[in-house]
Amino acid sequence: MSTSPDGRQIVAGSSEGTIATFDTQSGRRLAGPRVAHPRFVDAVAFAPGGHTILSGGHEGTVRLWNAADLRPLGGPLRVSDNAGAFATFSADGASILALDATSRITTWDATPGKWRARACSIVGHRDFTPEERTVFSITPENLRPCP
Amino acid sequence: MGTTERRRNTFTWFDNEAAPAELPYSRSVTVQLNYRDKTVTVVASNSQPEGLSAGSQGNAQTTGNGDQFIGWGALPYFSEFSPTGQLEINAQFPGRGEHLT
Repeated sequence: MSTSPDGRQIVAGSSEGTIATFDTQSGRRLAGPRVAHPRFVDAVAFAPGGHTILSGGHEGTVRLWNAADLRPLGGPLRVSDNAGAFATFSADGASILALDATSRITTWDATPGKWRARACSIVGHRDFTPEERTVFSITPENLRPCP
Repeated sequence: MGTTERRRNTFTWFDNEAAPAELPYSRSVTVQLNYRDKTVTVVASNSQPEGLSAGSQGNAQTTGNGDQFIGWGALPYFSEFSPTGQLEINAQFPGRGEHLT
């Protein structure tokens, strides 16, 4: 479970692999439950900015979500093969760290510019296809054509 | 390491130290990654005040004022520590038939 930076929402992960957000004042569910992982959820966290949520699944992936509606942001980030994926944001929200059961650390640069540059590099610096936008996009800025 | 780089490379998480047991108590850890030296350094740690171990479900989170709020997961406790590690709040949820006083 993790609380949003403004204290208004919590996000919770379940043993069924789902995540959901709740209003801390009323207890009302805001979004979800959404199936985030095929096995149980090892970790959830709000980014310090509050707009993005991450989840780590016991099957070994990290996923990013739009905090407002739990829309997926990009595809799963592979950490391990069935060795767990505990994950969290850095103090400034610009990096993601994941730990697997063998204590191996994986990190990603989560700043939109770096994310987009990496996606552009993967597709060969051309416009993203609609499918690639789903896979790679993390913020609206990332939908701009590649340089 | 400058302030920006330090914040980018600083991570805090709940460390249950259990399943299998590593320490007899759970804690939070704050680590700093140094990509040049390829090292990870524990720069802060806040231990469960009663010395208890939570097998699962804990969470450690830095609040807006720099404090650290920890829900001890499977243990019915929550705590808040100052940035220097001083215990500021420690509470236990009541069991069935009990009431907070």
